[in-house]
Amino acid sequence: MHETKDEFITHLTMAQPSLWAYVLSLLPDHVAAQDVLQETNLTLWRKAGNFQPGTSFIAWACQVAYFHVLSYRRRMRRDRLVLDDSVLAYLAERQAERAETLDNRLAALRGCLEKLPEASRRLLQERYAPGGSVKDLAESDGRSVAAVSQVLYRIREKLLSCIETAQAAGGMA
Amino acid sequence: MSKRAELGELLRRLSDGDLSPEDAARLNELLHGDPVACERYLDHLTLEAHLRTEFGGQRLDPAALPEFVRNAAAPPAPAQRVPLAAARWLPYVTAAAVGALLLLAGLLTWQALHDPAAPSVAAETPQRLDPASVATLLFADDCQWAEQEKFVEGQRLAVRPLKLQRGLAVLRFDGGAAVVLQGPTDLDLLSRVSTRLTSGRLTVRAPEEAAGFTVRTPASDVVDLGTEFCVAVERNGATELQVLEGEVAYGKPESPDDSVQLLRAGQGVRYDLPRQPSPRAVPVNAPRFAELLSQARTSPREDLLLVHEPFHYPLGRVPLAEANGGLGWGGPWRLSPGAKLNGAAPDLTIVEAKLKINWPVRGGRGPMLEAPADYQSRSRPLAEPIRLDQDGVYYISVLTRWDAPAPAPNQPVPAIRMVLRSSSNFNGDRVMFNLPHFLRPQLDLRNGAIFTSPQTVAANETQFWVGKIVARRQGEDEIFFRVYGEGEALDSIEPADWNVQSTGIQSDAQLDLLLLTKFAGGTCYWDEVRIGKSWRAVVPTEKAQ
Repeated sequence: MHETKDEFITHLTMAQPSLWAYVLSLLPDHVAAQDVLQETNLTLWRKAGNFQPGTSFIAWACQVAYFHVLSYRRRMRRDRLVLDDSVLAYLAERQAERAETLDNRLAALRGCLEKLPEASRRLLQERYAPGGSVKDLAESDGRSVAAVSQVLYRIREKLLSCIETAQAAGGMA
Repeated sequence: MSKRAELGELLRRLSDGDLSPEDAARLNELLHGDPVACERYLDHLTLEAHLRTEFGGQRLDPAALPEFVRNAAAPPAPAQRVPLAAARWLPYVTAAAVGALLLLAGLLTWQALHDPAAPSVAAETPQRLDPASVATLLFADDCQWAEQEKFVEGQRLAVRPLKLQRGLAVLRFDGGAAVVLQGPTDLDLLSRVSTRLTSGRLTVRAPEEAAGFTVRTPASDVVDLGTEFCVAVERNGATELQVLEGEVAYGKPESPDDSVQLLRAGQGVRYDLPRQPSPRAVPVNAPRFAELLSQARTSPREDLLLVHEPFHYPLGRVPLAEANGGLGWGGPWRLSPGAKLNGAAPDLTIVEAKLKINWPVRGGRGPMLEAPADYQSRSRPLAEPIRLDQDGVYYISVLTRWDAPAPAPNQPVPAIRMVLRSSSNFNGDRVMFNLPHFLRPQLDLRNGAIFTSPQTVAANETQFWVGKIVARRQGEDEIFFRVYGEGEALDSIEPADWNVQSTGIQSDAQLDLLLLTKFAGGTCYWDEVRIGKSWRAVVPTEKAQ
């Protein structure tokens, strides 16, 4: 390894949110994606010597993650795979290109979340906390699953729109 | 509904975990060749990931993580907690170890933040029960399971608790780690890369590619770094960890500020109580993984043999009606439907000493079947069918050697095959173990369902073929195929690596015919056809390897 361990760890740590987003996009099952992220992190650590300082860490990390995604897919039941091979290959390439800017989207999201009404933010909190599900949320709220699903859908659309606006403005919303 | 609205609806279902296979197919159609739709999909999934990051139990600020790992206490030796920043112990720990420690601190935290399916050590039961298989029972010696449960070797295991009251069992997790359980042991299979040990003893062997395998215990989480280790948990929660080879990291993911420690080969620690913050050092005295296996009885299981054809017939030509020996057959050999004789007699040709048997297995040394140039196919009915419509595990093996000819124009592709078919639907679903002239093992299960190994096997060598059929009444059937060459040692228990395996196949076929088929010239030899309920029934190695 040409750079210090500390520098490598900093790269790896900083890359986690984008790497997680990359893996989840290609393997849209958060339990499987978590397994693959863990495998990827260990491979990155073991192959740290292959990383060339001065080149893009996240691009290299995405390459490694992609191989782990493919390997995981080979072991998964076919009917549990959401994406076809051809679609997957395109999405992988495109998301790797976007990876450098995913941190900006996360920063923009944080600004957008602050603008959300408290009730909406709380709903997201309950949905995306560990173990959260639309069904549980509906039961605890006494609402129908369909209703909660639609509310969440609208909140996400609003957030996506807010993130786009922030990106276009070059700011953090 | 417009395509845009339809995509939005499918993404909503994906987020809710409510996407049906039909929905997934439609989603792929909408994404295929449409960059705008793909961009929307990626925006949506990126938002999903970021929302999990933001609300995953603790706000994760990437800028703060390096600070966190630097602050993580990491003593170099058991029971001596020293701040990582303190340089005085650095000479005692390699740079790699420090790095691994920091990384593992991050990994444990990251996993705790993002993996609701991987509950913390405090949780009593898995929070998510996934019907998909995560591990295989490779071996069971004199095992008694709780509540009279019966598990057979080769059985696939889903996320579930396992209570071994007596005996020794070996599991392989789909992530690659192999685990020896010694009864009495209670554990939960959590995922393909993790398990929780409630009580008892596990010995884990995880090759480098399986690094990251995690054992959760009442006192600590143990993350393997490509190694062999033993974990024992007593009834009161006292937990002991001994590293037999390589390194492991252990820590408490629910307490990111707590220590994540690295333990190397020859080191052991013990928590006398689950909540004890720091363990004390203990000597390493646990037996190695291979030692445990060698003590186990890995002898052949002829009692689990269902079908056997040793070709113990007189040398020379044997009329089909007289080729009626062996075990588990429903009648003598016959000409397969559709096979042509081209003027030759239908008899079997029996020869001897045409195979080079380096393995400590039965068969391959006495009489065997020769398939001369004009041979196409012979078949034999099974006394009992192999039922893909019921839960069950079958293994099948054969010894063979084939001098593969070059393919000729307008001729069938040269290949040799061992095939299981249904007599009532001969061209329907089948299980075909196929070796084409380009020497990459194949599984052919129905029209349009052919799986080809990326690996090429050696030409004109004696080979030992082993197939595995995991049949399910409901859900996917799984078929595996492994070809051992002359230079390869046979595994005494089922290996992790197969040349090729099926995915996405569900069938209710009842396969009651076995065929040995050769296409397009060349001479081939077959011997010792076996079908059984266990690896050891069809790979009858005389002594543990």
